[in-house]
Amino acid sequence: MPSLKDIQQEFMALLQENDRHLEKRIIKQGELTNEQRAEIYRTGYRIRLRGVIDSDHEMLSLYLGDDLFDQLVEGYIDNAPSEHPSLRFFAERLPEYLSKTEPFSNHPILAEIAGFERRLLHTFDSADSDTLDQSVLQQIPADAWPTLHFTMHPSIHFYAAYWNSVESWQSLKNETAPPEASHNEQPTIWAIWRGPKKVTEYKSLQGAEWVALQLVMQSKPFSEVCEALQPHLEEEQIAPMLFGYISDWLNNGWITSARG
Amino acid sequence: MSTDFLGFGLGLRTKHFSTILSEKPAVDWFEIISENYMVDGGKPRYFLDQIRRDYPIVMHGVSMSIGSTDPLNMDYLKGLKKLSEEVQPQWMSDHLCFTTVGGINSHDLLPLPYTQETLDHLTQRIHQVQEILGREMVFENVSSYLTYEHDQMQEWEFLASLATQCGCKFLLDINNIYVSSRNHGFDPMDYLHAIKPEWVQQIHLAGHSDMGTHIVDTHDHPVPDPVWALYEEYAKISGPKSTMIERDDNIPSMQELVEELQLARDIGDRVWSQEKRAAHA
Ligand SMILES: [Fe+2]
Repeated sequence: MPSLKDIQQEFMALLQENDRHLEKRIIKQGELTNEQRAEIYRTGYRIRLRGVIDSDHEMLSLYLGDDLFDQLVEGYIDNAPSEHPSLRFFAERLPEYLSKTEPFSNHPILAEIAGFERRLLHTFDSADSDTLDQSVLQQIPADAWPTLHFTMHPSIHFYAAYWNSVESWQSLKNETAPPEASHNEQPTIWAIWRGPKKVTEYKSLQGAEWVALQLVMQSKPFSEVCEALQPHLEEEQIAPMLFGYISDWLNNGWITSARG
Repeated sequence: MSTDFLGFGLGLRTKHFSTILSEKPAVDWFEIISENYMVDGGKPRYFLDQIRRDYPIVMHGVSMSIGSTDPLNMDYLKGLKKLSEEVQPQWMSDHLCFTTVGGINSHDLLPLPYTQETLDHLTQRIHQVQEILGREMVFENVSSYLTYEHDQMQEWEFLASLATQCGCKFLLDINNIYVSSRNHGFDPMDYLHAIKPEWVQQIHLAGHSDMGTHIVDTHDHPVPDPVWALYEEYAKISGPKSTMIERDDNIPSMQELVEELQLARDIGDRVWSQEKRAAHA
C-alpha cells in the first residue's frame, strides 16, 4: 500500500511533470477513464496558474500576442512553480524569467513591462498610513525647516525604466498600438503609489525631484536635500522648487509625517 | 468557538464591496477567503474593516494544506493568526485536503486517501494547528474526481471517524457531496445520514458545471435543484445550521445573490419551523 507521502508526491508529479503514475493508484469508476480523471486535475492546475499570469500581466499578454504568451505561461509554470500559499506571489519571478529565457530575453522591454506590472500589484495591497495635507506647510515654523524629516507613504514604489516600457503599457491600456521599443542611456524614474482614494497611480519624475526624493526617503534633513540640489538648480530656484515638490507630494498623499 | 446559528450568509467578493457599504443588503453574515486579506493594507483590508462593523465575519482559508506530509507552514499560520486577531471572526475554516507537496503549492484542494494513516496524520496536525492558532478550526469536505485504490473506507465513514478521533467540526459543503456522488457513483443520502448534526458548524451551497460524464466544481452557476433538494433533506436532519452560498466566478449582482439566498431561507423557514411545530405538538 502506498504511503500518504508517496501518493502526494505522485500527485505533484502529475501536475507539474505530467508523470502518469497516479493513474495506477485510482479505481475505474463510471464513464470516465483514469486518464481523464488525472487530466481534470492537471488541466485545472495549469488553468488556475495561467489565470494568475493573465490577470496580473494583462498588458504584457497583449504586447506578446497569444502564441508567445502561451509559450511564456507554459514555460513559466514548468520552471517556476508556486512556492507561496497565496497566488498573488506566483508570477513574482516573471520579470526575472523573461530576462533570462529566450526568445523573451532578446527583447529586454518585456521584462520591464512585467516589472512595472508587478510594482502596480505591490502598490495595490501594501500597508496603509494616514497622510498629511497642504495645511502642514503653514504649520511648520520657518526655523524648523532645515532639520525637518519627512516620512513617505508605505505604498510608494519607484521604478527605473531604460526602455519605453511604461509608455508601451499605457498605450495598450488605452487600447492603442504601443510605440516601437526604444532604449535610453538614462532611465526614466516612475513613482507608483496608492492615492487617497485607494486607486493606484503613477507618474514619471524629473531629475531634480528624484534627487530630492531619494534623500527624503533616506530620512535626510531638509538642509541636506537643499544642498544636494545645488548642481541641478540655480541657487535662488532651490527653495521655491522644493516647496513646489513638497506641495505636490502632499497632494499625491505621499507624506505621512514631518518631524523636526 | 461560537456555536450560534448565524443565519444565511454570502461569500464576500471584491465586486460587491461598495454595494455592501452603501446598501447594507439583507445578508446575515459574510465569509471571507482568508488569504485575500493576509496583506498589509489597501482596498480589500479597507473595505473589510468597514464591512465587519455591520456584519459578522467567518474566515475561510484555502492554503493550510492540513493533510500534506510537508511540515506546517509556520509563516502562513502566523499570518492567519494575525488576521484572525484583527478580524475576530465567528469561526475559521479550511479544507480536508492537501495543497502543497515538497514546498510546491498546487493551489488546488487535492483529495486525501481515506485510510487510517491519513486519519492519524490529520488528527495530529489539526491539534497542532489549533494550538498554534489558539482556537478551534472547522474543516470542509472537498469535491473530488478520483478514488484511490487503497482507500480503507468511504468518504463519509472517514469524516465520521475523524470527528470521533479528533473532535473537529465540519463545514459541510452540500454541493461538494453532490459533485463527488456523481463523479464516484454513490448515494449522497448515505453521506448525509452519516454526518451527525453536532459535528456541523456551517453549510456551503454552490453551483457547478455538469459535463455529462462528470461534474466539475466550478462555483460559477446558481445553486442547482439537486443541491437544493439535498440541502432540504439535510436541513431536516440537522436543524438550524449557518448556511451560505459560494460564488467564485461569473459573479452576479448582490441583489441576485440575495434573491438566491432567499431560497435557502425559504427552506429553513419551511423545515425548521415545522420542526418547531412538531416539538410543540
Ligand atoms: Fe465549499
